[in-house]
Amino acid sequence: MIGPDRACGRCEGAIPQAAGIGLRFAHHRALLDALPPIGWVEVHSENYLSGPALETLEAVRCRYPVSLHCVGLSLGSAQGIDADHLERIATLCARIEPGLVSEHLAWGRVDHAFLADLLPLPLTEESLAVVAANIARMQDRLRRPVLIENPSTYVQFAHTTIPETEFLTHLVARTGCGLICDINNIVVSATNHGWDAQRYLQALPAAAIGEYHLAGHGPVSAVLEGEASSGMLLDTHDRPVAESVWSLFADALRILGPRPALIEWDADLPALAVLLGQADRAAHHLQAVSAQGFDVQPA
Amino acid sequence: MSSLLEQQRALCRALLAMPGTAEAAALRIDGLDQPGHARLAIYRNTVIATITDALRLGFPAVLRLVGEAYFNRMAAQFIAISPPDRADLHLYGEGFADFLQAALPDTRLEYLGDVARLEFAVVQALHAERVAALDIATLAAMPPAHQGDLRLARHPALHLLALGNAAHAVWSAVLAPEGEARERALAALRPSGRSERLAVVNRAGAIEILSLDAEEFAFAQALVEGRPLIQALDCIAEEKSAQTLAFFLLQGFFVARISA
Repeated sequence: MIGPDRACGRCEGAIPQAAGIGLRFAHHRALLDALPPIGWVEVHSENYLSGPALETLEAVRCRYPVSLHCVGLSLGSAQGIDADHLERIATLCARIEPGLVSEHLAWGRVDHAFLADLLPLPLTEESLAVVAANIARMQDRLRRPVLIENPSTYVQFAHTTIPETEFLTHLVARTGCGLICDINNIVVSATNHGWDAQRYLQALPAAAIGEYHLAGHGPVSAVLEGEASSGMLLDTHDRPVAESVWSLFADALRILGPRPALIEWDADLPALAVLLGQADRAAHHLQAVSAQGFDVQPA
Repeated sequence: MSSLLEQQRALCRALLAMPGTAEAAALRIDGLDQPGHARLAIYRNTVIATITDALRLGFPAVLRLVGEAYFNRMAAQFIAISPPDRADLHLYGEGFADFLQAALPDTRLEYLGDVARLEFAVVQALHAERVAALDIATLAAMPPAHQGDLRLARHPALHLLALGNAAHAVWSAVLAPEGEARERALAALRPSGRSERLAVVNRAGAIEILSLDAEEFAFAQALVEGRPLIQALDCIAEEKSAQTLAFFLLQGFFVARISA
C-alpha cells in the first residue's frame, strides 16, 4: 500500500503479494495526484533511463514499491548482451531501488541492430547455454536474482528440442533466476501452437515463480490476414484482461500459489480508474486463494 | 542447421526487409515452414510500429508537416537502412534529418530536414546527462592571468545548429495549439532559404532554443571545440565579448575541460 513520501523517506521497496499496475507515461500525473491504494507499480526500464520520466519515476518510488521490467537486454542474443545497456539498467536500479527486476525469454538485438521486439528463439541446448550465460551476466552486474518471463510466440522452430517450460526450469536451475508467469502469454502461445495451458502451468517450477502478469489480447487477423494466421491470438496489451486469462489465473493460483500480480496495458490506454478496476479484480483472486491458506512460497 | 547467431542475422534481415521486394521474398529462415514464414509478418508489424512510434515521439513537427501516411512510409524506409543501435529508443533518429532531406520528392518542404535537425537536438537535450554547468562565479574566481588559457567543453545538453532554413519558426508554429493564432503563424511563415543559427539548451528540464548571430555562433563553436578562451575571442567583436560569454555561461553552455 502507499508508503511515505520520498521527501520524508522512501517507502518500503519490496513488492507485496498484492495487485499492481503497469505504469505508463499517460498515467503519471493521475497516479501522483490521486495516490490510489494499489500495492505496487511496474515500469518498462528502457522508458526511464533519462529525461523527465526518470524524475517522475523517483516521485512515484517515494510512494509505491517499483518493479523494473526490462524489454531491451535481449537475453537470447547469441552475441551476448549490450554492456552499455546493462550499465544503464544498473544505474537505474541503483537510483530506484526496485523490489523486482525482470526480463524476457526472447531476443531483439544482433550486430548492433536493436529490433524493439521480443523475438522467438529455437529452444535448443545452444540457446539454453546462451540465455543462461546472459542471465548470469545480468544478475552478476545487478547483484540480485532477476525474474524471466515466458513469451508470447507466433512461430515455433522445427529444430526446437526442449519444451518451453522445461527450458525455463533449466534456466532457474542453472542461474538461480526466478520466473514471471505471464498468464496472458500462456493463453496466447497455447492457442497459437495448440499447447495445453493447464499442463503448461503444471510443468512450471512453482517455487521459482515470483510474479504473475495479466493482460489483454486480440486476434492476429487484425494485423495479418490469411490462412497462416487463422485462429491465432496477438499479445496486444490494449484492452481488458480476457475472461480466458482470468480463468487460467485462478487455476495458476491454485496450482502455483499466490504471488504479486500485475495488470499490463500498453496501448489504447484507458483512464487510470479502469486499470485500477482490473487490479481490484486481480486482488480479489489473490485474497480468495490466500484465505484458503496456500502454502507454496516463492524461492 | 545454422547456428543461433546465423539464424538471428537472417531473422533480422527478414524483419527489416521491405515487404514485396525481391530481397524479402528470397529470405529463408531455418526451422520455419511456409506458414511460419508468413507469420513473421506479425513480428515485422511490431518491429516497424514500435520503432516508428519512437520516431513519431521524437519528430512531432515533421509528422504534422508531412502527415501520417508519408511519415510512416519514410520511417519504414529509414528503419530498414538505419535501425536503432540501442534499446533506449528515445534517442533514436540520428540521420533521420539527412534521410528526409535526401528523400524529398520536390522542394515544397525544403526546410523539412532542418526542422528534423532541430527536433533531434531537442530530444538529445531533453535526455542529456544532468551535470552542473560552468558558472560565472567559478570563472571569475580563476586568477585573471589563467583565464585566457581556459579551455571549455560542450555541456551534454548544448546543441549548436547552423541551418539553411528558418526551422525554429516552423517548429514553433506547427507545434502550437490548434486555433486561429496557429493558422496565422503558419500562413506567415517564409522559412525557405532564411538561414539561422541556434543553440538548444536544457535549463532544469525546460528546453530553450536561442537564436545566435554569426559572431556569437562562431564564438560558441570555437569554445566547444576546445580552443583556448583567448583564441576563441578572435571570433567576436571586443565590445560584445564579455557580455556574450556571460550570456553563454548563464545559459549553461559549457563545462570546464582543462584549466590552465
